[in-house]
Amino acid sequence: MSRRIIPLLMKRSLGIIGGGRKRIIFQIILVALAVSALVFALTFVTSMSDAIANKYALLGSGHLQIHQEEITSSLPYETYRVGTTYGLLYSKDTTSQVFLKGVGADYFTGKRGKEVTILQEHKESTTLMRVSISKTLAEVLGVAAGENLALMVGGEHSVRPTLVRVEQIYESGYRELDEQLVFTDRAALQKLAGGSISLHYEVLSEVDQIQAIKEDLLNKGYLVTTWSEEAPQIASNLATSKEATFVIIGVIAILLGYGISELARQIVEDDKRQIIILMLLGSKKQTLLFSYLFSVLIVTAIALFLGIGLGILFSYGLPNVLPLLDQSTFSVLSYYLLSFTILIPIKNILLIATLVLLSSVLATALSLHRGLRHQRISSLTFD
Amino acid sequence: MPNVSDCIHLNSITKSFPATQVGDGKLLILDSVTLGIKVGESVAIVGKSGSGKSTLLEITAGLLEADSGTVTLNGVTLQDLNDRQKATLRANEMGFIFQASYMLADFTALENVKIAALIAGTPPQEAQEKAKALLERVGLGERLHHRSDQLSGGERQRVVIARSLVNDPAIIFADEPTGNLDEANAAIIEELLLDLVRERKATLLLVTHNAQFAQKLDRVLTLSERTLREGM
Repeated sequence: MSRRIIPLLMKRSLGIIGGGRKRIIFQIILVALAVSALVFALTFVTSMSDAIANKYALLGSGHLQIHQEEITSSLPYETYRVGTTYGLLYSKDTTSQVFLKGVGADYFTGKRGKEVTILQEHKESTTLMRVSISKTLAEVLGVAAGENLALMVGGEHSVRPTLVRVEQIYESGYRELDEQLVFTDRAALQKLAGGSISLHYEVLSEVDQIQAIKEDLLNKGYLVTTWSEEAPQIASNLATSKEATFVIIGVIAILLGYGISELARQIVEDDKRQIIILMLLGSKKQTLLFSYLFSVLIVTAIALFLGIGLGILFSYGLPNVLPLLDQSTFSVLSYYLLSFTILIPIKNILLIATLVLLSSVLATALSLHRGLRHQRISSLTFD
Repeated sequence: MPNVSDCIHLNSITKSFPATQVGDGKLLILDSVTLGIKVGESVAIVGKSGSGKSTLLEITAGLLEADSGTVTLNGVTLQDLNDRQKATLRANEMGFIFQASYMLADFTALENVKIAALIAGTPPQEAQEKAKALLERVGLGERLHHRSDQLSGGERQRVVIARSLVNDPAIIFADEPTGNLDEANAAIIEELLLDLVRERKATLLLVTHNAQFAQKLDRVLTLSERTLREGM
């Protein structure tokens, strides 16, 4: 049974016997670095997309909305009553269209509170309606906390500007979301806007519970929409970018597998003389193919293990680097969310690892089969 | 006359190679060569360079296809076997020694011999013991764990001889086994090879330029004008 030589040949291919150790270590490092870059990219995009989606849900519309002005019965969910309308804010120099959210005093508690940072606050007593605007909007309007702005919303009977006081300037970390978002007191907004305000309830939940809660609320007779139904374009953009990134990384993983097979082909080419000697001694081509294939499999598996570990390590280091980028003057990064929790997409990473492994094994098997088919013992021997 | 019960039986072997220098023509190397070698017999084939000695050896060992004719080794006709069957036959029934000592470069002397036994299906422990005993027999007991680049030309050739005998093959094919060695080393290797082949009662087919070495064998055949004749 010439299969008995497979462990010996594998030891040699893996550099445990002979002098191929450096080549194997270099190959492992190369593949591990490539894999770590893929894992990092996948983690970055997934974490950022999920964080943007969550921020939209927490600050924009809630994970779910119950379209009812008043709910009398108590619900077993975290619900907040809000009123929304559109308006125009005037500063001395410019005007900006805004989306006004009238909320209660308890609105920025719990996990929602962590989504905003108050940069400036002016708590002086005033009879004016008080608003919280984002840093982005404050820069556009050229105002600071404590200054006044004119707000115009469409009321039932008339449309006229009202003076409001900038009480807080907040930052959500995501300019795309907060450049129009203005928070104010719900009762004050209701008084000002009258019938033009849309009153409803926001429900906060975990992302994986949205559908279950929606069904429960629908069964109870409420008209309910999810955040992705409220902002379908944003939701589909985020989903598409995640899918596109995954597909691109998948294609790179397949190419990486092909690259690994090219290295295997090179090893076979370098080992031509040894292969012919082994064939002369009676070793079957299939045995040689398996020994090289298993060696490639082991090298790839080690490299994948290291690469995934390294990629996850890099990803967890990301929250330390992103704030530095956020503070930098790279205008290209100003529209990105640069502060988010890292979520490791284990399922997708394992899928990518499987792709690398399968594509490398398949391509290596084909490459070895082609390489070994042309080996003839007589090419080595005789005069 | 050759007999089908011979250990090696060549029946009307013809071989030619494409001769690009002469247009579409073919260069005829062997023309209806017929040969019979008995079990345990040692036979030397001599002849000028390019006469086709090595080609004949390759065809006899099943490493090269003849244009026509058949090769029978211990009753098995090579032309009836596929590649896998030929590999099994090589592992179990044949030993090879060449001019250049083809050792597996990354393996030690012991591993080089052991691997041939493993290929033939010998259990690892037994393969190890057989390899060690043979290397000691060829005088390399102190060099078991040396690799190819740590051995002299003569020592490498001893390893190859040990490797060729580890599976107790019925037939040894040797092509200029001392061609790369100095006179003193060549004489030692010649004696060693012949002693070991005779000890094991193996059949030896040897190709050589060395008339003195050839005459130490049971029979000498000369390949000339594409055919074999007895004597030098």
